[in-house]
This record gives sequence, structure tokens and C-alpha cells, in this order.
Amino acid sequence: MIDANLVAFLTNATAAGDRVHTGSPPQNSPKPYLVLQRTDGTAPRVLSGRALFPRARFTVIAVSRDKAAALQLANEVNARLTAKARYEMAGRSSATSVKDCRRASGPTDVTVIDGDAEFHGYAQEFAFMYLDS
Amino acid sequence: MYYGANVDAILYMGAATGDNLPAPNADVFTEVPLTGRIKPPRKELRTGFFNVLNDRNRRSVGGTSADKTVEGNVVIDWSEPTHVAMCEDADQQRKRNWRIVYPNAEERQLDFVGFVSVWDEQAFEAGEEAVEHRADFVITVDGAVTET
Repeated sequence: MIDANLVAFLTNATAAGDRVHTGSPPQNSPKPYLVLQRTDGTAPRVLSGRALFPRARFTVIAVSRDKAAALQLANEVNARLTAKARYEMAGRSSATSVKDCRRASGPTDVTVIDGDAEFHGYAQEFAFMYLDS
Repeated sequence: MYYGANVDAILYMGAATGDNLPAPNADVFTEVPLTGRIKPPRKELRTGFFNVLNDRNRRSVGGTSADKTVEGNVVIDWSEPTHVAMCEDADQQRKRNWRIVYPNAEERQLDFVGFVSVWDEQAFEAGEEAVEHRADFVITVDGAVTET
């Protein structure tokens, strides 16, 4: 499943280390960290009903202590996901063959400063065409 | 009963080739897989208009059938023999039996003889969206289309 395999692919691959969260991060999560959010998914078919390569979009938010570090982390993620046109993402029980990955948007500054709370982050959306096995 | 237009329509290719083809029920048909679009042949008569003496109303008459083609596209898979055959047919003007089965398969299918006159592979293009590689095709119909 691409969701789990994407987490595995990014774990310990960037300055965020193993702090790769899906959906939303735990409260007071130490920085830096990454947050993955699935924003879209389609499974196109041909006339016979046979499925083609599924598509999925994920927003990856890179969070760090300051803007510069967050942007650097975001660039690491982009380099990791788009370095090659085709690659494999191995997971615990399955693998995902990525047929295409491109950055669809971003990095977008999503920094929030509210009193003492500071959240420095950059969001990027990645579009995948893939095949799960 | 009416039916959906975006699933379950199937294009079949006959095995026999040449100018003297067996009747459809004596041929062996193979599904053309990964078909993304099939446009059934258009029915059209050539028409003529004329006037009779001083009659102010224009008269018309229907004549012969217009040219018939079946257009569509496939997601190319070079391990599929039917895709390879369609690509080769476009070079060699090889006539075959073809069959289109409508989504309501119990009710309607079209049988006709034709040859692939266009096999047009789409460009490899670094566009915005990732897509599978497709080929547009045109099957030129030779003779009548049998509706059953």
C-alpha cells in the first residue's frame, strides 16, 4: 500500500529521521518532523473495467525549528521523491512500484506563529502514478 | 434497457486475414484489451436536393452510404498480440473481421470487415499529469455493418 510504503521510504531518509507522521503529528512532537496527508486518489479504468495505474496525491509538510531548516527539509523530501522517474518503495509486507512522481505544487510556507507557539513549515504536494504489489 | 457508455464495451479482432474472410460465426475472435475508447461507425447517407418545376418546397433523396470508420484508442501493451497485430495491419492493409459488443451484450453487437488504416501513437511528453502511453486507431469499414 503506497501510504505505508511512502512513510517507510521517507523514514530515516531526511533530517527528520524516523519522525514521519501521517494525518497529524502527536502533540509536542520533537522537531524536525514530516507530516504526510493523502489529498486525492483515483483508479482510472479502460472500457473492459480493467484498472490502470492508480494515482494518488500526498501533501508532505516539512516542519522544523526555523524557516530555513524547514525549507531545507522540504527540499530533501523533494529530492528523495523525484530524483528518479521510476523507483521502488519497499514496505514491511508489500512493495510499491512508482511509475511517476512529480511535485504538483509547493513548497508553500505554512508557518504559524501564535504567542509562544511557533510552527515553521513548508508544504508540498506530490502526484504519484504507481502500482502496489 | 439503456446502459452506461464508459464501461463494458468490447472490441474484438478476428483471427483470419485476407480478402476472402470467413463469416463472423466461423472466425475466432480475440478481445482487444486495454481499449480506452471505441466510436461505433456513423450511419450516414449521401443526400441530394432538388426542386420539382415550380414547387417552392425543396425535395431530397437519399443515396449511397457514406464512408464508415471506427475510431478509438488503446493503452499500448506490446506484449498483447492484438496490439502488435493492429500496428502491423496499419502497414499491410490486412482485412479482418471485427466485432463491437455493446455494454448490454445480450442485446446488440456490430460485425464488420475492415482494416486498420491509422495507428497513431501519442507523443512522449513531460506534461503536467502522468499518463499511460496510448495509440489512436481508425478501422476503415469494408462493406456492410451487421447489427445483431
